[in-house]
Amino acid sequence: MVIYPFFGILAGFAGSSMQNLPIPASGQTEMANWMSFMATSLGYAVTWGPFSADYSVYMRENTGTVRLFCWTYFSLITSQILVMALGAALATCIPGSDAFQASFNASGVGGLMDQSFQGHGSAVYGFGKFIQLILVLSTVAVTIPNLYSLGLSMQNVGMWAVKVPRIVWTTIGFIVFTVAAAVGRDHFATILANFLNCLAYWYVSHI
Amino acid sequence: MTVAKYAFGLYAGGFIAFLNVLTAVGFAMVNTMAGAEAFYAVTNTKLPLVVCILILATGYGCSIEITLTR
Repeated sequence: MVIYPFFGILAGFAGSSMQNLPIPASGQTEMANWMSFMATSLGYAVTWGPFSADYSVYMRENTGTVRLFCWTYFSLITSQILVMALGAALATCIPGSDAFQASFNASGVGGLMDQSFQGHGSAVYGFGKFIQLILVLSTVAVTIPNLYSLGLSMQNVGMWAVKVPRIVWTTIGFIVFTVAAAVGRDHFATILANFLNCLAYWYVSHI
Repeated sequence: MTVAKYAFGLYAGGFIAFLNVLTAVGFAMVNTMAGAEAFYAVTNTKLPLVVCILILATGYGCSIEITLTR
């Protein structure tokens, strides 16, 4: 919630470059692409299901279904849909713009954010750097629950795993993901898509 | 995850918990890479991407250790 104003500022500055791209001719290929992309996006949202059990809020038994639905829907809109829409909107800046294409090639999604703040004078650009830094630090909030759940899940693997303190498991996981991220740093988009596809197959089946 | 053992049994539940661990590692990796790419852009691509990843990951590691030991 604290991050939301910063997302708003980013969207405001990038807004002038966003375009309404035409939908490609609809056919079976297009439909298949759309479906697989939706599966990937769903994989991102659904994967939080097992983790969310660690941070659940217990409701009273007599909570109405409408109320429950509203809470869930509101949370999903704020946490996933709006941010994903902003990402998609940022990506529409690329076609037909050499500057955006160059910055995307240089530093991926970060480059798009950087390019959004350019062309408004140096003061705005410096302010943009601050906004970007805040958004970078906001990824801490996404990674910490992962690492915390990692320790809890690992202790559930077997009785032998409970004997090891949770902090040791978290440290091992931290080392593993750091090395993996450093090795795969040049293939972010490919890794993300493949990883989410694997997860979508596995999680959707039992959620 | 402990409830999953009730449904799947001791060993199968453990297997599922391990898959959850893999997911957690993968998600932490993907999020770190996304953050590092943004950080890379903040530094005007002067700082190498590996260094960005290491800085961010160390930050995450330190904060979770502090949280757990509190």
